[in-house]
Amino acid sequence: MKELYHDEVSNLDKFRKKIDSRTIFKEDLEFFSEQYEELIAQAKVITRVSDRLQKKLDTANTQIRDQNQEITDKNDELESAINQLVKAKVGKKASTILFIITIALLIFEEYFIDPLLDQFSGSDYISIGIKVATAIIAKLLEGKLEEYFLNREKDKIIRDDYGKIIVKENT
Amino acid sequence: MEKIFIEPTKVTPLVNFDPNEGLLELKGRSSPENSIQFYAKIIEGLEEFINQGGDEFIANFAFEYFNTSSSKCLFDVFKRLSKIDASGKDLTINWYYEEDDDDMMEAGEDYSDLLGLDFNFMEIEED
Repeated sequence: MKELYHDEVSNLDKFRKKIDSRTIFKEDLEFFSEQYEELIAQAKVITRVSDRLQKKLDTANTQIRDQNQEITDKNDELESAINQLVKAKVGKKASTILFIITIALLIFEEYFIDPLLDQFSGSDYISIGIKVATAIIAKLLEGKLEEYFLNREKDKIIRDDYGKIIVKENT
Repeated sequence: MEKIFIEPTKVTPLVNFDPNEGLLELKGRSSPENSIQFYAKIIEGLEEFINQGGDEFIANFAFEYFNTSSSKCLFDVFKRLSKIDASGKDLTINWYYEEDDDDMMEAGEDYSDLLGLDFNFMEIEED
């Protein structure tokens, strides 16, 4: 199988043989100089083509780097958006649960504690105090409950080997 | 003289060489594993055309990309076309390049300048 520059190498070998045998004529030298001139032309064309290929490769690499940066930025934005969404979701959930619990506690207080208080003290201030305390405790608990749900949601979000966010399906 | 038709692949161009019609077409991407082997038949065919072919020859080149070793083989192809021209036959070389692909146009200009051949440069729309 022929290799690249087979003809050129073959011409060089022939010329060297002529040098060795001391049978060089003017025509041989002319032929050799023509071959040499052609090789220079080839070298020029190949160098220019290679330069252009290199330039294209450089441009492509720059584009890939820019696109990677854009993907990373978008991923960060996505992560931030997911976090905000999760926070809003768990905040709403915690508020709803505590609202129901607080209502239940207030009803309980109204129907079971208040009659006892009326029976033993007759003061409305204790009842109001209990209601205010229930509301304050509920508000304090809301933060804790929100944190608990947030951690549970975070456990569902994992990252793959490339740092991409993956959301686990609910089982 | 034998016709050559090779379907294009991801790494080799379409080849349509009809020495009886005096037509050579190369179109697509050229980065074969063995460029010498791929272009050998075309070069042999052109050599035959120089000696036995008709009076007219049209060569159409429409490359999207060619690698360094293909550029050497293309040089050899153009060398044969130069011989066709020198033999007094009517030679037309059309060099197609995609719009905005200045690199491909300049590659054609390089071959044209270095081998002293007249090229018709034709811009084509991108696929």
